[in-house]
Amino acid sequence: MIKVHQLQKTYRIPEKDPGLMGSVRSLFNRRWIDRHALAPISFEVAPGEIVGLLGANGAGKTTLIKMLAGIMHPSAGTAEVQGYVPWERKNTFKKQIAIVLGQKSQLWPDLPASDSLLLLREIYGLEIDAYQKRLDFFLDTLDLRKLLKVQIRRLSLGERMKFELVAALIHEPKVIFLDEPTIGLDIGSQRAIRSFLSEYSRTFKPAMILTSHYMEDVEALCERLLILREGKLVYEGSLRNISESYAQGRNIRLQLKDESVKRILLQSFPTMKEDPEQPGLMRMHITRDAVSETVLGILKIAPVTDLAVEEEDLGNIIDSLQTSRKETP
Amino acid sequence: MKWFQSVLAGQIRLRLAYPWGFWMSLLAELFIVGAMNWFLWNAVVDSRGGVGFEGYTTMTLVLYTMITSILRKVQVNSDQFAGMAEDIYTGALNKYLVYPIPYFGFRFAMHLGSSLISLCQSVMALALFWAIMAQGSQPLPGIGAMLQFLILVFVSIALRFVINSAIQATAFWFEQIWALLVLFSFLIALLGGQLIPLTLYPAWAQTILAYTPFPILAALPAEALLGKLLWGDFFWGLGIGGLWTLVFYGMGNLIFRMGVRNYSGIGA
Repeated sequence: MIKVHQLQKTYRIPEKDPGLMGSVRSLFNRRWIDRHALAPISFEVAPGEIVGLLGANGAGKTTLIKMLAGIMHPSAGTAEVQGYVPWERKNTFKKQIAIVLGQKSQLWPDLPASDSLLLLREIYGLEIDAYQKRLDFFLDTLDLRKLLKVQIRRLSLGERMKFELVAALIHEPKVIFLDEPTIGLDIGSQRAIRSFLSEYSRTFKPAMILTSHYMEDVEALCERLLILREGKLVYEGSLRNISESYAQGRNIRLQLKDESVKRILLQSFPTMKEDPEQPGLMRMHITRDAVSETVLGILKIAPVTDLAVEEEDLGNIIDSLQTSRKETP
Repeated sequence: MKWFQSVLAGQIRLRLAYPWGFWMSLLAELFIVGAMNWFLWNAVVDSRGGVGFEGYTTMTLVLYTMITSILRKVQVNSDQFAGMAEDIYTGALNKYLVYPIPYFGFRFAMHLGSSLISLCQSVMALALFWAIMAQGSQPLPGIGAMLQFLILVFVSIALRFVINSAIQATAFWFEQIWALLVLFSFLIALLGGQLIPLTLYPAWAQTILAYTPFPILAALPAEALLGKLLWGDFFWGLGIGGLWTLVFYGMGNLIFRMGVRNYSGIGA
């Protein structure tokens, strides 16, 4: 269980003028600027829930995850993870959480995974039977058994990430933070990791926060989204509701049967455009309310072989939200 | 504390997987240090009309500097010289902060694992040199001297680790701490008797240095192995070394606790 209340983070970073003189001046008179990485933010995550934490680079996602994992101290606000204040870093708290940083390996590259995992068994004080049972589950589910004794540095990125997940989950954490777990992986490895996380969530029901820039991850795993823009929470709600709240338009796509009516159609619907690469394929964007009227109007004028009314792409909506091109209510 | 043994064993396995780098650098250093000191001390003794220094022959002085060179390699493992600062700068500290064990303990286990291997390799090389080249001038150490040496070496490994940890923990504030570590190495060379036996220093300097952490890092273990350390001086050195270890451990912990509040986990 995660409870966050008015949590915020401001970094104090040095500022230096360019050039040699700037460097010399900064030795004696260093200027500091405040960078607000995270504005006050509040939310909760229940056990068994996977929440997608989305935002452009620098939006504050990793900062938030690091604070909730106890790696960083906040500037203000409170948070509780499994009833603990994360940044007090109590050992009983650490035994209940796991963090996977897709861009940072937690394993020892020169050792085989078996050695790293045995070390983690000692670190978390796991009973040998419980450890072996969980390890077998992971090795079978992720098809890793044959790679257990191979040096980590000799594994592919996808194989390494699977072992990262095993290492993070071996102690059966109740709260899991996944920071871009599929970054840089090929499509097959991404699918394997998504499928594993989905099964893991169903079986063990931990509270999970997932950040990713891949829409496939979000759509496959997250029921609820938190979207950050420049450190501010701009959307909190279900994945389904995001389309209803923000997809105010629809895209119409139609293939003409007879191109002779094209001119009349373009005159009647000035926003309609022909696809420059596929002659006869027409596209237009309309408001949600105007769908019936527009479709009836088109069919009255032009015979078509195909006609489709499509919702706005979810990825585009989220991208708009996190990069401020779309106004939030 | 089973994790401590596992980290230690893991580090030993790691070092044994890549042993040649250390052998090469050790043999090259012993050859250079031995040869340089042989010529240096011969020239010094010649300039004094063939009169040596009290308690030291030219060969003993060469052995002394070779032992202090070895101590430096054992106390400061090149793969971990600034490892903690690197963890802070690169964000590798993140993973240690979420483990339910102390970061310093983890790092010390790694350090000790490397040091044990370095010590075994170094002692083998030194014993070979001593038996072949220097046994005529200086007999091989007895059990008492070996015992004194080994105990002092382990205290010096711990002391050097906590001093380096305290210095490296300042990496939370400073963008570069390499210079501080190098500066401290120079201080050991000068005040710890790494280059010249402390018994050649003026009496007043020896009295002051006896209260500092420096002699146990170089002079005392070297004197012990050469059979020149009295048991009274051994226990004094051990006590002072232990005391400074506690002081620097406390300082390192305090600096780390303060610093980690500023930590931003950059790099991940």
